[in-house]
Amino acid sequence: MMTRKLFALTILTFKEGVRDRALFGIGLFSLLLMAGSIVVVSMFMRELHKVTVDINLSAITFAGLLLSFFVSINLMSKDIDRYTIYSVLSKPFSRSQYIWGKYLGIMLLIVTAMGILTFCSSLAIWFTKSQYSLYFQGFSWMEFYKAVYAELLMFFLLNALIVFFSTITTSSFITLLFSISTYIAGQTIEEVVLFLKTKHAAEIFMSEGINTIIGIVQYILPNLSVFDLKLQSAHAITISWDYLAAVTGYSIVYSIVLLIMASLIFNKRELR
Amino acid sequence: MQKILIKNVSKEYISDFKRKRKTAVDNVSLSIEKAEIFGIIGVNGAGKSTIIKMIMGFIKPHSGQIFVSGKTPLDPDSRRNLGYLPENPYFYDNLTARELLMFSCQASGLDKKTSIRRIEILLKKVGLFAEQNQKLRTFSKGMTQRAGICFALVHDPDIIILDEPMSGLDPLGRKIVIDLICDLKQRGKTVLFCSHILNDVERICDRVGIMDGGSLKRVYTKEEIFKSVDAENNLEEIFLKIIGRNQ
Amino acid sequence: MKRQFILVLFLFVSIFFCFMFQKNLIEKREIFLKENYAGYILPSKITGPASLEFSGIVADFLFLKITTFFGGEFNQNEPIDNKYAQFLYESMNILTDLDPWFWDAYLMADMILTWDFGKIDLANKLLLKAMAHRKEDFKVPYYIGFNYFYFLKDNLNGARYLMQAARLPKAPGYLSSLATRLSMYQNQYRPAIMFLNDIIKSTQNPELRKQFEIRLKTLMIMDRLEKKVHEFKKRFGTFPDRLSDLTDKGLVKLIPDDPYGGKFILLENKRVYTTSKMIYK
Repeated sequence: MMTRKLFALTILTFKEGVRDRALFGIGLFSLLLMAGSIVVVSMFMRELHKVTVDINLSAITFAGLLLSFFVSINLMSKDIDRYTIYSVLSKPFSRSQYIWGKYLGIMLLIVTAMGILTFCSSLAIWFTKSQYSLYFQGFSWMEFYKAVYAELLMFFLLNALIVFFSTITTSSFITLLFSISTYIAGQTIEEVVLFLKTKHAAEIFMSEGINTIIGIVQYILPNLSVFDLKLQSAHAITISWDYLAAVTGYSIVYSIVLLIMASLIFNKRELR
Repeated sequence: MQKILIKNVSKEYISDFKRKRKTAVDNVSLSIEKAEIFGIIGVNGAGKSTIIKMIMGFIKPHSGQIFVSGKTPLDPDSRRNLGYLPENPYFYDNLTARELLMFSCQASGLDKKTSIRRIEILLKKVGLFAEQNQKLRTFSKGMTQRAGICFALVHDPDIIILDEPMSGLDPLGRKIVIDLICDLKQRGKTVLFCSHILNDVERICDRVGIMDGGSLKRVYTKEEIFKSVDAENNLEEIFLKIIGRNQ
Repeated sequence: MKRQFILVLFLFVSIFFCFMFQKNLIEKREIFLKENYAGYILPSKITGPASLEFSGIVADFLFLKITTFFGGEFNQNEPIDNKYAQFLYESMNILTDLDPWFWDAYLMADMILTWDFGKIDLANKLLLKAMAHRKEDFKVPYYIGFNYFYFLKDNLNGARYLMQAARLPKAPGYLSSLATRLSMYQNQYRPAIMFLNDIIKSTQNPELRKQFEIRLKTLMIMDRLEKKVHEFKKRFGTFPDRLSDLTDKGLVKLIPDDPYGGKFILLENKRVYTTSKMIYK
């Protein structure tokens, strides 16, 4: 019974999202980028597989980001903003079930979109590969799909963040702002920490306090750069299954923590 | 057994910036029995919607208790057998009326066959059957209102809560809704609704509660209304007298 | 109706002016870009984090930008300013911070820095960086070794890197014997011909391939002429004084033109070279 209920909400969210008009723009943009990769590639010397993979993975990722920042936020924040949530909560859903149902619907949307885009970019790569087979010897389908998978894990986490932020803020714009800043911080925190650990930086930042703060922030913020395997995939550098398992675990655990916190906060929220 | 029981419920809103308190509902007690149609009337800001939102569990009372079918609104099961129409309903833009109703059925645990049958009957009743596969974005206010009524009724709940069911409806739509409510009563359903349109309330309610300034001033039974309603003393008069703004 | 017509007319007039401005602007912009050449790239401490998770595609974009810039410089058929050598080194260094496995970038930098600027030290610095990341790639030590042999005439280091290359997987068999052959032919164009042949074989970009092929052709002419000079010595006991002696004695029918537009000459040490220094005149 509960799964059926949740499934109904998931499908509702998916349908509402999949018909969002922004989706056409996002899809068209990334398809153009993929088609463009076939042309652009000829301007490079020999690492054509690298450039092809770079462009295609970037197109998939960029589409996912647009989808998360515009469509997902619409599905979550606007639902609360514009009281469409009343129609869901008048049904026997608890607040946590609402959060999970919504999240699953958004994930279903992202998985579908990425599935379609991955298929299209596979076609683009396959075509370029057949045109320039001499320059594709360093290419590996396996590593390409591993990078797509890791990117998907990143979107699991990012959308959990978006769901979390929409439960604590009262407007979709603030949710957007919070999500984008967290995304940027999450992508760069690793580099900042690495920089602070160098000798050079130690001379500039003498204060122990800053280091402690950065240390704490490092543990609170999601480290999103662990999901970025685009470069490795482009150069067909083998990523171990261990690593993939580790980032899978990280993404799932972090998302669950966020969603539980979102449920707890949302339970207390007044929907006037 | 009471279907809806409200015991000494109060609700204060605190404005976000000034931290100023405003009492929206003040010590209201009310019980609604099975197969009863209860109407709440009151001016804007009287606290009608606040009470309904507390019954639905959207907001929580500061003090007092609420029970729906013997369960508190915090328990999702309290809404298992309940249908709700929000004030100025607004639904998902990109869904069709049919999909919205299907969701309502599935979330309440109806099987597919029954759902399809009930959706068809209801859509025909409110005159939306031809538009069932149109996106809700294209609906006019009255159409949305009618779709919302279907959303509240499609899973055949025992308790129906309607917040301003007549708003945005043309006379024909209003007649359809009144017929629907009367039909519900005959089938032993409990209905709670609030409205500004006193004429409708008078016609269909078993009991009427008059709210003002957050408190429930008085509850009239149908007989009492009939008794006091005559040529110069209709429900409107009573209402204005009660809230003390009869000049 | 009339108002509508005036509006449409006005639209067309505006479009015409828009087009005129645009055309003018493109010319102005060309001058502007020429005067303010793209001689800077943000350091990787900024570009790295700023490219978020898109460092791969940003590196590709920078690579295109740099190559079109140098391509444009080369196409003007005039010797390029040496100040660009440092710019090329620095920008490729930043680019390879973004993508440390980007072989095209290393190779491009190597080709231009060695052949066009003669900055072998900078080229080798980048190649060493490549070696730290592309540990399995035999091409990296192979190219370093070549630079040592051919440009720096350092047989010891050259042989060391070539042996290192030969030990890596996928290294062609001839690499191990190449070291000895390279030192034997040290004062000849043969190694360079071999090396260029290798590169041309794996270059896709037709524009670049054409560049390499012209260089190869020039080297092959000089190689042939040098052989004839030695034949001259064998036959007449002395080296010729100038290349025209070869035609006079009938060893060569005629001295071919330098594809770069220079003239082939015989140096004091009896080596054949060209006045163009293999840079467009």
